[in-house]
Amino acid sequence: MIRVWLTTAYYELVKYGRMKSVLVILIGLPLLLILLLGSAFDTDLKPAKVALYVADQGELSGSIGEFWNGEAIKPFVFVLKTDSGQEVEDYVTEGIADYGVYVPADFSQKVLAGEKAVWKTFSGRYAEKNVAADAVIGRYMAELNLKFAAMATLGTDAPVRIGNADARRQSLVAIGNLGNTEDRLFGETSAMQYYAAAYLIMFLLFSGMSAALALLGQKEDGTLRRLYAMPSSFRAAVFGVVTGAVMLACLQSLVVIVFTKYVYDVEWSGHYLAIAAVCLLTTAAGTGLAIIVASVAGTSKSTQTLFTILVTTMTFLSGGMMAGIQNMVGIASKLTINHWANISLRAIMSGSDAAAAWNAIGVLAAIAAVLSLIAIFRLPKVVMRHA
Amino acid sequence: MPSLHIAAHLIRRTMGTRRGLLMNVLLPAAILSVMAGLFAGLQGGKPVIVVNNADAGPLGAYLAAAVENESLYDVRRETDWDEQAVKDAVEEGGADAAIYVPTDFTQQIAGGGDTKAILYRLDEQLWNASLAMLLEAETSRLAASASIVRGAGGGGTADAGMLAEFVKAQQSPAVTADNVSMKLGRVLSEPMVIGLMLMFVMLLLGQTIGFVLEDREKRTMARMFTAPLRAIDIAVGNFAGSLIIGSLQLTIVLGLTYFAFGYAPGIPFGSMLLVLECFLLAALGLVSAAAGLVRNRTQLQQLNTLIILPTCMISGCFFPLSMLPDFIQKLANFMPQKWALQAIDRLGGGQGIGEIGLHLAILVLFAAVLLAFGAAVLRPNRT
Amino acid sequence: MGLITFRDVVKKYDTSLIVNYLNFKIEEGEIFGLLGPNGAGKSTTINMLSGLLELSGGDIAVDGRSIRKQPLEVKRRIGLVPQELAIYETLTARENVTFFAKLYGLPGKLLRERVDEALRFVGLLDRAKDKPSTYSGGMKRRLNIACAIMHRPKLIIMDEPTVGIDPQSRNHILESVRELNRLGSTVIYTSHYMEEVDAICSRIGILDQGKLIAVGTKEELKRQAGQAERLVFEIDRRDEPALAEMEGHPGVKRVEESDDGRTLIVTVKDSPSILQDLLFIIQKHGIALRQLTRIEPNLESLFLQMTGRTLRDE
Repeated sequence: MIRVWLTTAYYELVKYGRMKSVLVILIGLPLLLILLLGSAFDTDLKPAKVALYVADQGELSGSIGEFWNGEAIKPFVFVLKTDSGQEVEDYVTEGIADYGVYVPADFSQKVLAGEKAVWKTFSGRYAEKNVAADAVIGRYMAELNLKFAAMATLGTDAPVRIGNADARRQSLVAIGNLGNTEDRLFGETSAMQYYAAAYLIMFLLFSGMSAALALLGQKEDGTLRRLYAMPSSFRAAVFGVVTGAVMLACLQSLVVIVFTKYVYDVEWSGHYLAIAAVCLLTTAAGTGLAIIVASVAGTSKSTQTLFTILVTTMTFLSGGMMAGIQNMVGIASKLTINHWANISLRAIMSGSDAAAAWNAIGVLAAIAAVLSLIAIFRLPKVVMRHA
Repeated sequence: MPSLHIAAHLIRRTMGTRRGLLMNVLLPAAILSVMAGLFAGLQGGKPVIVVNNADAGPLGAYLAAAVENESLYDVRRETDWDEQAVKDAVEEGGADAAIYVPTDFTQQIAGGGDTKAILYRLDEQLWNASLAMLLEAETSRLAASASIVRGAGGGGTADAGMLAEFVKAQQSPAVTADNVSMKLGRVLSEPMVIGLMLMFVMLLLGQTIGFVLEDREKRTMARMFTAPLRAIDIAVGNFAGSLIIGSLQLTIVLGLTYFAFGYAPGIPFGSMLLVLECFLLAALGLVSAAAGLVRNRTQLQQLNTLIILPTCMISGCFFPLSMLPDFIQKLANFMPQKWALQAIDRLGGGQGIGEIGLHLAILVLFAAVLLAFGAAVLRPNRT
Repeated sequence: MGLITFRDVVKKYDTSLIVNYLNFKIEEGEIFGLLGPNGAGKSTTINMLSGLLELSGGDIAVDGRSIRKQPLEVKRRIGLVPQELAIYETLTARENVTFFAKLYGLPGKLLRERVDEALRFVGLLDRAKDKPSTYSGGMKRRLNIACAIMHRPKLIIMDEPTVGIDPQSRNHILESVRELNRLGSTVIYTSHYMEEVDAICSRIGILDQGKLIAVGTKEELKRQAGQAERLVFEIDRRDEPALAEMEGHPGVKRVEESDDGRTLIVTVKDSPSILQDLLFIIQKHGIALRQLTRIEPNLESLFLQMTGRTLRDE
């Protein structure tokens, strides 16, 4: 009995090993998606890329250069130096830069002559980046203007410094952040952690499907009947096929976690036992769901289509494709396997709230148990020809 | 003539059945339209900022006006809210951020005191960090002005009238930033709808080429070739068939999203279709070249999953390309999707067909090169 | 001049010679059987004839037209029934036949007539609106034939048309081949089943390792191989003198005897009066003849003799 079980499981694994394209999809694709989405949504605060060309060689050019190279603006803008005013415009048009600034050649001259002087600015596509760049430029302009206004209205020629450069003074704006971390786009985790969890879970569910597909495939090929005809436990053999897929999922989790940890620097935190529990429960839930779907769909082709649609939808609803969706769809998100698996993984990663993690794992375990039970009940429909 | 029959035959197999029509035409159109609607809703609103200026003096109004001048925000002025009411508005979602200017603001600034304008927000994001910076810059300027006025007056408190006048004098500054209005499309920054459309074009072509591959697999293509026609007739037939199917799908999907569901990116229907047609050519090249690498339909589906989704991502179909690391942005130049998105973006920015000639040429070049590899799939092999 | 002429036909893949200088003719009105084990070059030969493969050397002429110079004219005269079921499962039988008919450029009214004719011929007219996915294996095979004959080709090539089907459908197909031949088509027929070829073919070519090792009518081939008929006599008792007399007859090669002596297997040389002579000997010795069976030389053993291999199970 044990021998039959282990033998079938082993040969299942060998078969998966031969299916190179399946392995690439199950392991390579999540790694690629994690990299792309994780780095795209890396941090919320990305400086605006500003294409800059300073044609002015006059007296103010020194202070202009100092301003653009200064530390104070670093969090808000990243300067891309260009070689002409036209290039600044092109950068913005092509989307290489988010914003453009062109300081005309006669700027210093006009300012010192007391004439109206301008910087030409080019707003780009992203309103929030335009505002950031506008604010940065506004600060420089304000300083200059203040100086000239002081000369004109008050006749003073005192040196003027604005803002935080005046070390004695504290900020005159108090900022209250009212939201708790739940409301943040990626919660307490980074984007990379967020997507690493989301795609590990999504593809674990797909691995669960391979159990159902293997059973259906073996039924369609007739090899399952051969197993049935053998003087050994059929249950053990079927269970072995399922075990093969579970082992594939284990291998997949291992590769994805180790790879993301060492190559993408994803912090999984040290609670590997809890992570293993989440992976196993997710695989169990996925396998159960896939077997239920297979018992309804009948053929491997329609099982594949149905299950893919199901998993994709669940991933989407739980925010795996666009973070934040889960908060817009309300209860629908909570009805997915991904949701509970994701939040338990994220809670484990952030390490802050052990109770929340175990709570979510508990819900996941309940889902996995229910799905597995139904699956066992429906299994004959999948493996027998006329059940 | 035989090519025509082969093309018609391919069309019938792809969308001639009820299932084909549903899966290959109506469903994509519906999904795209729902997405278009969803994103139009998502991207509609500006952040709402409640500003309550309780300041007795003139400087608070000055600060409020500065925020109001920023067109990015939807500013709502309130007059008799207290700090708690402002805070509640943010917490309960009535506003995205709120600013409260305390009653003694002018007085404190003038006296060099330590007053603070208060900004409430849920968490830090670039738009509200910018708002904070704007407030910071304005208050700093007011404080600096006050300090200068104080210096000029020689007293401990700046003269309020003088300060107001001084601040007013700065209203027409000598040095300004002159914003050159750029005509920019919104596609590169919000690519989801167009990006999905491009992805569907590729997925549907994968379906179509799948049928051609099935022809090779099941030897029906060989059978066609025993009829009195040349290999080129079959290739042309399959090529034309795929293009016609793609065009029909595009026209229907685009027509539905444009006219039935009211997605209007501000681009003329014809120009949009032209760019998408060029993309269709390039995508046909890509998919048939991929088909040349595989033996059967199942493998083609797997390969398509592996090729289409990641290339769409790195060429900016789902989120702006500028969010990705630089090397990926360079890589994107080798994806036809990037050029299609850029061309559509330019159209959206008000440019004409003439100005996207280069983009279209690049797409056609993609098609030419890739079709050279993929042509083997479209005709029977003769070795 | 035959309907089909193979002249120095060669097919090479890289360095290996798949078809090695074929030279033979097929006359109009024949049912020509092409025999050979797997890998002998049958399919390659047929694919070259039907324009699916290019020739590496030589030429094939059909009805006086060269496959190299006028491939379309040659194809117009040919209907190929491929070994695979090259039909569309998702299209109805009529749509299948119609599609291929269109590729032959048949115009509207004629097209409909010919499609009906082809479907009627294979007995699928009443099921023409159904999709092949609802058909039995034999019906699919018949549809596979219908798709190759609606343009009334001069030459019909059947590549293993009876693989894997029930005896009833098989008989139907064999009958169709004879019928098509009667209606004026020349047929080239390949099969693994010797008895099929034996039953319907007027002339046979045997292909082995890319070479045509024998060609002719069945009788010619048997003669060529030096094989003779055998006569099996079942008699009521053993009789030594009769046996000796038989063995002494100039038309008899060999006489084998069963253990009880009641069955005699007589291998005879080709001689018209031999059966009469042997019957006379039996009668003369007062032996009662229970049964007489004539065993003709079969192609299977002929093939074995010529190539040292069997046709199947390779």
